[in-house]
Amino acid sequence: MSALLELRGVTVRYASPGGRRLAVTAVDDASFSLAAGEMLGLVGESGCGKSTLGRAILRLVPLAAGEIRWQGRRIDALGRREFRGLRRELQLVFQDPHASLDPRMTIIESIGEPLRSFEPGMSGPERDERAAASLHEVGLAAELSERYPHQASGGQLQRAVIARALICKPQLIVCDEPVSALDVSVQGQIVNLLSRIRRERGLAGLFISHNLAVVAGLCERVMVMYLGRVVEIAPRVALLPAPLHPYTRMLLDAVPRIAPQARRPAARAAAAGERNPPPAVGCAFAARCPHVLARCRKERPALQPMRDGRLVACHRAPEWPGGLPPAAG
Amino acid sequence: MALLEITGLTVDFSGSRAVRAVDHVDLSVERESCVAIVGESGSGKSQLLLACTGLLAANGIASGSVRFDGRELLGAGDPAARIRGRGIGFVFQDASGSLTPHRRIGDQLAEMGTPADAERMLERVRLPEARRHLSEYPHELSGGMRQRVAIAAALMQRPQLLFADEPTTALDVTVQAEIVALLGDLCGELGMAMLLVTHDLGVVSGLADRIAVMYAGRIVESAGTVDFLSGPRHPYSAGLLAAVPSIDDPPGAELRTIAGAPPRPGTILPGCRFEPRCASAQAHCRVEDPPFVEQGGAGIACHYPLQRGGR
Amino acid sequence: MSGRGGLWRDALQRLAANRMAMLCLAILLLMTAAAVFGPPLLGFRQDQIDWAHMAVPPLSAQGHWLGTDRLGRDMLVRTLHGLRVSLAIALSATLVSLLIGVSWGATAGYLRGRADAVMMRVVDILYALPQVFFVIILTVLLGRSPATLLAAIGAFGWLTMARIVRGQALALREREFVEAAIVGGAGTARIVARHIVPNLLGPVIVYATLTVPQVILVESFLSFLGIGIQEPLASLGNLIADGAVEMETATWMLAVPAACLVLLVFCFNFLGDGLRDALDPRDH
Repeated sequence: MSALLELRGVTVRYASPGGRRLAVTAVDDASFSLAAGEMLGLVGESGCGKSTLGRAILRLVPLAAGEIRWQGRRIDALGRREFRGLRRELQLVFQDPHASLDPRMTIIESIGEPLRSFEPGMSGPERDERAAASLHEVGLAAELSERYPHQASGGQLQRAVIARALICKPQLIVCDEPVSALDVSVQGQIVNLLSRIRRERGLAGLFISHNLAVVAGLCERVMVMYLGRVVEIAPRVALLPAPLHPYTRMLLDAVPRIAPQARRPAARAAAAGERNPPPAVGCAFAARCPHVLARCRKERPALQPMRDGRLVACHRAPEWPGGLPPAAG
Repeated sequence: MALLEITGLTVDFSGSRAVRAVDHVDLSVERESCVAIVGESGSGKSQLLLACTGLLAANGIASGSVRFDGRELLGAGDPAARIRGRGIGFVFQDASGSLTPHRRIGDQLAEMGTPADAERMLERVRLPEARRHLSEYPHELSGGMRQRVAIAAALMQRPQLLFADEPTTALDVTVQAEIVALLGDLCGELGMAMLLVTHDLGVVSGLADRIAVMYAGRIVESAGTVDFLSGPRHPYSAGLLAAVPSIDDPPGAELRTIAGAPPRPGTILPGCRFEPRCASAQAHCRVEDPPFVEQGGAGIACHYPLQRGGR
Repeated sequence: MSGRGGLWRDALQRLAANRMAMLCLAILLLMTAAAVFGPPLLGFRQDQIDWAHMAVPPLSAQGHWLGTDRLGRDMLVRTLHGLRVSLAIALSATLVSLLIGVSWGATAGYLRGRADAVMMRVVDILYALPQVFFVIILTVLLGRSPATLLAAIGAFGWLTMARIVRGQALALREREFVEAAIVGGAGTARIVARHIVPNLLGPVIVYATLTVPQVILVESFLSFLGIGIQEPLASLGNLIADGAVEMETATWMLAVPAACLVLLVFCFNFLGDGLRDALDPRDH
């Protein structure tokens, strides 16, 4: 079974502002594949490149190296016009719903807009009808259609963004922090909506978030990134109890648990490695890793397959086949 | 007498549409204790903090009383003097609220003491190589380290009370835990009280002795943290607690959520403000706004509160 | 508050609430109406010479409310004609600037990169050329007429508009709803026309309103110099030129057209300010 989406060695660089020669490597040699109907989670913290990766898949940023294949065909080298036809299969839900809708268009106009490009034969009323159906499918009341974005709440707007992404029946939907800008009491509505729609339509998804708890609930497989590099990919049932990469372990330990009797650990010093940009040589996590060896600073670990379809980029991973235990205290 | 005593605090904004952001809030912070105000958008929690420190926008009017160590803070002249001179420190969500980008860290801290004090304070906030950081600019540090410096700046004059507005929200998750731990330790070491505003219940769980939940400008529940987390009594608090996704949840489970959305500031509803979203609302709730009733160290504004320990 | 056009209606309401701006708008409309309908009603033609009343002050002779000039032509009628010409040139030149400047700037800002650099270099080069010099050359080549003047002013008027629009477009380009349109398959033309331009119309309208008085002043200056509108046609500029000569003996010949010019420029500027306040969508 060939993968729906496959990335091999994808690298994205941003030119540094101010005219300096140093470019920032936002994504460094990322490789993974996504099957049809699968929901893959992508977690990492600021600067890990997860958003950039999502944008690279949608050709919003150019690749410096690597390949992107869609249903076996290379799409990164396609001309702009050819790729535009393909866009209806690949859609995106953004983080800030207020920013991703044109403030000067009504909600229903925004939802129906992709139809103008992908189904040019449709008349205005037909478009409105399809848009209204999409609006209904995401659970929005009909009276919201003629409103402007500043007259709706964040949760309602995000539903509209999802309606717009789904209107041309894509096969893959990239969600870039879709709930991070929403109130906690509303986040669940959007997550549940995405989950339901995915089940109903057999949609594949890449769910990007810094919130491991949300990702773990929604995605069967999870990919972890650190400073532009993919460090671990595993099914969630294996990742959560038994992470193989020290950074994954650190992320899991840092997830706050809300419990009446939770004891707060004593304050540690700021890790010296907190601010360094990724090193040119060696493992990106070496500066903060509690299990670091001399080898780690010299040799960059490649993403290697382990048991059960797992992949890890760590020299020492084979030493703890049962996963790393939680940090003490 | 509590260190900070807020009575009947109300914040109104004038303009094309008058908006009441905070509606008659009563709150007290005892010495050396940490109180967290939890709320979502439109709850008024940030405006409450800004009103206490005189940092409201130009069209904001605060009324009521805010007493710090017996002295009235509201309407008492220059905000900066109020904060620094009177034993109150402030930590913002973004360190750029307290640190000027174009001056060295050492210079900024030394304004409030001596360079030696500055270095000692940086060590206190557990920044390694403190001396080197004195000559650096804020942008040369990571977000987490900048926030430590901002905390150091707030502590330079040994305040008795620290106001913190979403101190960890802009930080990565791995760093958040460290800042929470740092703040907790510092409060203990320096005998400092803290009034913390946040939407993040994880932060609250690690830091606060007491929690006050705000909704649409009002406090709807207040209780000790342990009691609260064991069993919140207000339907909104219960919904909020249930809505936080937990990594221990069974995979694929639906997230619990509260239907609808918080009311936009400025919309005035008769009766209880939470009623449109409340699963246990009754007819009476639409008509009469429940008063805030305190009993035995806990307070609640609800006609039909949940039983403790139940959901 | 819903319905298409709701945003513009909001803005109009805000504008209507601004009394000063409304006053200026009323004055401008009045002046325009006077310029268009006034002269026929007053009974004098602008080149009609009243041999009996030459250089008489205002309100002293029959029918000549604002007096006459050296040649006995009625000041009010001449001024209204002058207003007509000045307004016509200003409005059309501004319209041309708008059309060229907005399309040029929006496209450059959206495309970024090399296309943007080339387009803006063109603007920079034209900007560096001395405008008056070229107006003179054009006048010599094409003869003195309102059309020449319009061409000359229009050729330079769009430059600043293009720069402003390009700056706005560059910022808009980074906004997520533009990325969303790209992901939604829209092409460059549609994105520029449907997303970029409507979202920068605010500053554009304001700037256009402030351009009109500038053009009037340029035209007046050129006519004053003898390059623009020539006798017997009247424009505010050449009326002021004539009046300046008689300043000490017949003050009204200068005062009337000058006051008209000042009032016109003042009202346009105030209206522009009012529009800027009204069109700011973040005003909640």
